[in-house]
Amino acid sequence: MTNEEIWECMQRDLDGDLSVQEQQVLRNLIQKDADLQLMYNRLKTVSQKLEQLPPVVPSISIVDSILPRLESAAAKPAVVQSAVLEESLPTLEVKRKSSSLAESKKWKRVKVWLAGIGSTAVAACLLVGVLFSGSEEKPLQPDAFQNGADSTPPVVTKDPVVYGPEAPTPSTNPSPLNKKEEEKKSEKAPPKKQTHKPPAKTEYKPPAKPPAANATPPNKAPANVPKPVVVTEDKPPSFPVGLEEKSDEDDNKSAREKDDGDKDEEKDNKKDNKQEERESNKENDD
Amino acid sequence: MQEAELIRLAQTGDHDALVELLRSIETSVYRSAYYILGNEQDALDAAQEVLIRIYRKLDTYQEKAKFSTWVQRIVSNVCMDKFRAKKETVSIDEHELIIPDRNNVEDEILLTGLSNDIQEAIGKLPRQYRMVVVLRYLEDLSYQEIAEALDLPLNTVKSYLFRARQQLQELLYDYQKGGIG
Repeated sequence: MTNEEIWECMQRDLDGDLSVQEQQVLRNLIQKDADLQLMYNRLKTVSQKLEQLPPVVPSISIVDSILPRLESAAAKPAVVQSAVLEESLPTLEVKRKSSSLAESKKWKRVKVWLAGIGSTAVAACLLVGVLFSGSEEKPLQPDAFQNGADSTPPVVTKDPVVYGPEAPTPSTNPSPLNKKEEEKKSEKAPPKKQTHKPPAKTEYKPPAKPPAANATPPNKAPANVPKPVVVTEDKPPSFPVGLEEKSDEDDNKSAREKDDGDKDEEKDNKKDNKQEERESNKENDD
Repeated sequence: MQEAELIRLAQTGDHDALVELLRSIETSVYRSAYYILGNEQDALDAAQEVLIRIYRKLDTYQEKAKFSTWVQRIVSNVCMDKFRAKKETVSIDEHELIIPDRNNVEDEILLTGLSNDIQEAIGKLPRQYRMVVVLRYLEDLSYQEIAEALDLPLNTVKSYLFRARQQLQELLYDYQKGGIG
């Protein structure tokens, strides 16, 4: 028998778990070995001390301390508690669910509307921005021409000053109706005049003298028109239109007039002289 | 009135029988809790919890097991919950690896000079050992009943009990011997 087996037999003997034969074998081994006898005695002493542990008693009656809780729980049986729950829980749950669902739906709708409004606002802003940017980009091109025309303001101012006194003379002619119609036409369709202007310019520019000669016959009918070159022969326009056209013409002519400025003055002087001669001849005839 | 009759009446809803049954087991419940937990306050709290559980779950008790064994099982469960609440995580193996310092004079004085040296030694046992010792010596349960109460194999119960006694013997005598030597 090994030491472990002897040790186990000692333990079992303390618990009264050994048979009579096992107890006899153990006693024989212990009597022969002093160490085994010492160990057995110590274990037996420990066991005796454990058996002699003082009986501990609670300072208070634990049952009395918990009885109020137990009786209150007994006074409120499960039926009462379930009734209370049925009164409160279902209604509260339903209300919470309904309110929460309604609120969630409302919030979803509001969010959808807000998203739609926001998207439309953004689209409108973009459209307005595109329109303004497009409208601003177009005038930039004529502005460039205007800037170029700004360099010739003195020429523009000179023309009205020169032809101002001569304007009343055509007003006496029977062409006011035509002028009015032309004014209306000019108001109605200004781009057409602009389209007609380039050819007029081409007619005026290279052959400076021939148009002057062609212009003279119609001006002869009024007889008092001294400067047929100034009056647009294609369409006898009204003054505002003519002024506008002159300004456009001046834009192109300005540079040429600067070069040929002396020639024009000579032509005007010649024409004036011719008219004076004609008037003097008429007076003489009269 | 006998315990079996009290149990039957209490299970049928007799409130007085239930209270009388609780009073009959009150001291044993408190004693086990006291030696397992090691202090009076925790023992009172645990005993109250045990009695309340018995009050509420008495209808689940079946006569297959001894009533005292069933009660001690509840005691051990409540005490284990208390241990877990205190986060006392010293395992049995860890405790076995501890080499006692034989030059610690204070321990020798505590173990040899005081009359409650065995209680101090019990307090130094691992929890499982402590429960087995308490059930064996204070509640006088057999190996099988301890195994049922603690839900442990029979051999494990024996092993725990034998090791617990060996450790107590070492605590009470070996320290004294080392100090003298």
